[in-house]
Amino acid sequence: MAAPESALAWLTAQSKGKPTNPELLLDILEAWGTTIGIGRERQYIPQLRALAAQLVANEDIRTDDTLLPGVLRFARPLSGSEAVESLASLAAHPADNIRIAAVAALGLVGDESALRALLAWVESERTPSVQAKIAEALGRWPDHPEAGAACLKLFERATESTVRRSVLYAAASSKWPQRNGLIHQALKMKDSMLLGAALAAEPVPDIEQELMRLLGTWDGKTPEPALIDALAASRVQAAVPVLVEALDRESNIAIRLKLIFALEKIKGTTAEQALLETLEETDDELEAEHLVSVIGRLKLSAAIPHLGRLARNEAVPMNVRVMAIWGLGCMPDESASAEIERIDAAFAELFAVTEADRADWDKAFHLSVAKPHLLLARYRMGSAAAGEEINSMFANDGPVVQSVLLLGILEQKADHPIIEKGLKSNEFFVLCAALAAARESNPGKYRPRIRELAASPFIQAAASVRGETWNLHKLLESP
Amino acid sequence: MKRESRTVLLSCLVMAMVFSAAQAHESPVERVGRMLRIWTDGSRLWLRYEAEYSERSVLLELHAMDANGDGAIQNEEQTAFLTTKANALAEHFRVRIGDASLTPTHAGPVVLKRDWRQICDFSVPITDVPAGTNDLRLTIQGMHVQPGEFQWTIGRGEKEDGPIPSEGKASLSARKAQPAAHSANRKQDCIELDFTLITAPIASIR
Repeated sequence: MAAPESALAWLTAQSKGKPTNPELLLDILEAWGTTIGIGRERQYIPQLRALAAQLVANEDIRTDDTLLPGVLRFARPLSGSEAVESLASLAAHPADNIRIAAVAALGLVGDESALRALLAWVESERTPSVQAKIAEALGRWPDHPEAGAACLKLFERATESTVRRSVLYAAASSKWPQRNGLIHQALKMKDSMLLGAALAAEPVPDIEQELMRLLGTWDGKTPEPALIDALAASRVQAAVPVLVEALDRESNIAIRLKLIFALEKIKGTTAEQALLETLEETDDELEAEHLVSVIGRLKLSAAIPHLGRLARNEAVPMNVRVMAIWGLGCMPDESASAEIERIDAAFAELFAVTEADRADWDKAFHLSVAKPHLLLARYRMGSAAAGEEINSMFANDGPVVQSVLLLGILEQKADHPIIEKGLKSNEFFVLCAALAAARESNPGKYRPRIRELAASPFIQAAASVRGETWNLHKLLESP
Repeated sequence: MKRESRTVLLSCLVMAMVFSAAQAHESPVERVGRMLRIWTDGSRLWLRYEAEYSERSVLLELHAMDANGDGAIQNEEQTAFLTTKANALAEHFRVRIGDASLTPTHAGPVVLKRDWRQICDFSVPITDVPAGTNDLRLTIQGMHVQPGEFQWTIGRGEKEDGPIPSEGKASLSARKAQPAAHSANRKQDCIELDFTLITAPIASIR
């Protein structure tokens, strides 16, 4: 925002009475609101928060159908406790879109006063679209049983699936005592929209029978993805034969991968045997890559000879070969170590770079991460020399390889010197991977450095940039 | 404009698949683009290196710049950080003209743009280069390990950067480019660009 001080002064003046230039007010709020919405406003948040509360409380604005939606859009990401009373009083507003915007803003406030306001609002609200928004907002209080009780009330009173679906999504990740009851109720309703929402939840006690009943209704056909996920989440062993059969006949790669991951989660001899057989038979590159990673995570040592063949075979796609090295590294088995040593001894020959490889950037990338994976596999198997080589590779390579190495160290929960180096990196991904590795391996040792990073306003600002999924704020908490 | 560009955005996907601890959809590519401009003003060969940064990477760099840890950047801190960075960057460039090997040096301050670009000039004298047609090879070491785009072009760049010096007494043209980046054979990995440098007789330069 150009000239923010004078813009703020003008907006504040407008907020105190009947706006003299509503069009300009809306234009400025929209422009500044966009900057705030994408997390780029860092200097004036406290002043803007006070302004937002004042604008929402302004009676002339509240009765202006053109101004109020724009003001609410601006206020939404800024709402704090001071705005709760004004927002809550919009429960009586006749326009649905205004009530939806006010509910969303209350959800973002996230404090006790906002929760009280929403609980009161539940009692009077009769419009399904607003009820659905209230349920979604209540999901922000996953530890508050009263939010769960209000959602249960909405669920039972609902006349439309959209409300019930919002309730189920809100309940899915909550710790509400009403959660499991809600999901059981939803499974009994013959509503496919609800089924997906209900099954998106974490495992639910005593649900196995209900899920097997649902699975029976698919009778020879591949069950729907939400049901596969639910069977996996609840580790339903009885479902394995049906899932294996489905894997045998299914040709859609997305569904096949879902079935593979479900079998990985459920585990057991039948599931694991099916995964090994599928790896032997598959000719799909993506499926092979995922199967190798699944088999590595499950440490299925019966796959070692096949993984060795995949890693050494130059006709196999490079991503699958690299994944096979990683898979071998996961196996706590002498024969896996021997295989890794053989690949290491012949690495230059097996993974030689040709001019054609250089032109194929996808292949060249995978070639560039083959060596780090091999080093990580050897390091996991106890090679001190590999530890030294990891050190040297980290010092001489770029952020992609550095990230691969740190993620490998993180996965092994090892305290390796590259963590210390990564904690000094200017590369966001490298820093995050190093923080995660530090917290996993030796939190006490790295506590001072983590605290030092957390105290930096620049690091805190980097953590606030929208769109990052590492959750740097969390990584910076004192371990 | 010559263009050697590729990204390794897929790297994040691969890592997310390999390591369950990795966060899906997060890309390690923070430096999204680099541009090298090359030109001559008759007496020196100039390289202008422009790197685009993301907001996050700028913030992390500010943290590194804040040597006394007071949460603010003093001019001295900024100058010291950028000078060290530019000098380190200069190490990546080697120029060979005929049989002579030359190392460009950092010239002028690093320019920080509002769109998070950083621009840094390097130069090397060419007054000793024999008059006539010369083979010029620019080797850029180390850049291949950086993710993101790399582009290069002959010429100084936009008008906003000031008047373009006379190029009448020497000229530069691309001969061939041998792109190399992001592959595993580190010994051969560098970016090599070949040019023809035509210089006028010394007398005409003076």
